[in-house]
Amino acid sequence: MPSRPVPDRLALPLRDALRGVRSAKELSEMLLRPATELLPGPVQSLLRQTVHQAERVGKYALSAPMPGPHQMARAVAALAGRLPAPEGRDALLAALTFGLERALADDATPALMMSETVAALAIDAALPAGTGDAADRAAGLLDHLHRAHVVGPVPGTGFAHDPASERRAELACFAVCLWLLCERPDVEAGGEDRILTLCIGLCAAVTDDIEAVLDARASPAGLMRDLASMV
Amino acid sequence: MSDLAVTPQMPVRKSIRRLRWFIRAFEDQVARVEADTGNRFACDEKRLSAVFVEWLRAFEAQKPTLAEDRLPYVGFAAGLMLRTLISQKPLSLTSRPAGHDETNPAYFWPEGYVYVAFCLNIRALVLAQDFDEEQEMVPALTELRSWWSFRENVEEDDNLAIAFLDLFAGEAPDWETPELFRGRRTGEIAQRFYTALPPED
Repeated sequence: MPSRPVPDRLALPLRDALRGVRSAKELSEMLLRPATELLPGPVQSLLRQTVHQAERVGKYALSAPMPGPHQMARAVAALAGRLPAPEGRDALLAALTFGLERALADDATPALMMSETVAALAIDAALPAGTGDAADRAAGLLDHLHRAHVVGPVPGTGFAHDPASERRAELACFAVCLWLLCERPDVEAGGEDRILTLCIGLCAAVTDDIEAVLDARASPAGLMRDLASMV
Repeated sequence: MSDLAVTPQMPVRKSIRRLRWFIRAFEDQVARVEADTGNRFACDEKRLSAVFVEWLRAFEAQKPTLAEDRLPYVGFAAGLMLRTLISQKPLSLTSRPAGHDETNPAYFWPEGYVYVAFCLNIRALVLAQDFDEEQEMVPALTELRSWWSFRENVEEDDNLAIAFLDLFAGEAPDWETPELFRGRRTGEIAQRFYTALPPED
C-alpha cells in the first residue's frame, strides 16, 4: 500500500514531526529484526508481533507527493530567479521535499531525514540572495541547505551526525539541486521521477568529483552546470 | 543483430550525449536482445550512469577539430563506448533458454553481445543520419572464432574493444594503439613515414 501524502494544510513543524515518527519507525524495524533471532521463543514471538504492529502503522506513514508539472515549472523558475521569491517559494519547497525524501530513501541506511521547516528557512535565505545564472543560484541554495543542516539524523535514535553522514546529506542535496537545474522540455507522465532517479544515479557515479569540489570549498556551480547538461 | 527502436527528437550524435536518452536506448537494446534470444539480464543503472560519464569524458578528450575527422571519429567513439561498457559491466545475465547454442555469439557471451549490438547500432544510426552511409554486416560478427578472441583479449586489455568493434564493423582495426584516435591526416602522415623508411639490412 503506498504511503499517504503529507496534507498541505499541516504546519511545517508538525509535518516534520510525522516525518520523524516514520523514519524512527523504519529504523526501529531495521534494528529489531536481527535481534528477534537471538531471543527465546515466547519473547521472540511477542517482539515479532510488535514489529508486525509497527508495520501496520507504517502503512499509514506520510510522504511528500510528487509535484505536478505546474508546480515543477514554478519551482524551476524560482530557482533560476525567473519568479519572485514569495511566489516560487512554496513550489520550490514542495519539489525539494519530494526530491530529498526520494534521495534519502535511495540511500541504503534510513538513519537520515530531512526537515521541511529547515528547508523553508534555507530557501527563504537563499532565494533573495541568489545571483548569476540558474547553476550559480542552485549552488547558493545547496550552500544554504548544507549550512542550515536540512538533512540530519532522525531525532531520538541516538545516531550522531558524523562526517560520513554529513557527506551523504550533502550528496543528497546536490542530487536534488541538480534535478531542479536540468532541462525538461519534453517531460512525460512520470518523467520528473525518472529525471530525479537519473540525477541520483549520476551523482553516485561522479561522487569523487562532487566531493573534490565540496572539499575544496569551491563553488559547485560549474560542476552542476556540466552535469545538468549531461542529463 | 537486434536493432534499436528508440528514436530521439534530436540527431543521435547529440542525444547520445544526454544521459536520459542513453539509458533509454540501452534499456531498449537489452529488451530487444531479450526478445530475440530468450536471454534475461539484470541492469545496474548506477553502473550504466558511470559508463555514460566515463564515455562522455573520453569522447570529449579526443574529439577532433577537423571536419574531415568527424566520420572516422564516429567509429572510434563507438569503440570507446564498447570499452567502457566492458570495463564497467552494467549487465549481468540472469537466465538463458534451455538448449541454447553456445556457438552462437549471443549465447557464447550474452553481455558482450548486447554491448556490441548497442555500439554498432548507435554507430550505424549516426553514420546514416550524418553521413548517409550504411554500416556493413561482416562475417566476423557471427563467427565464434572472432568472439572467442574478442572475449579473451579484452579481459587482458579493454582498449582492444575499440579495435574489435572496428573489426565487427568491417573497418581496419588498429591493434597497436587502439585507444588513440588517429585522424585521416595523421594516418596519412604515419603511412608515408613508415613506407618511407629504408629497408633493414
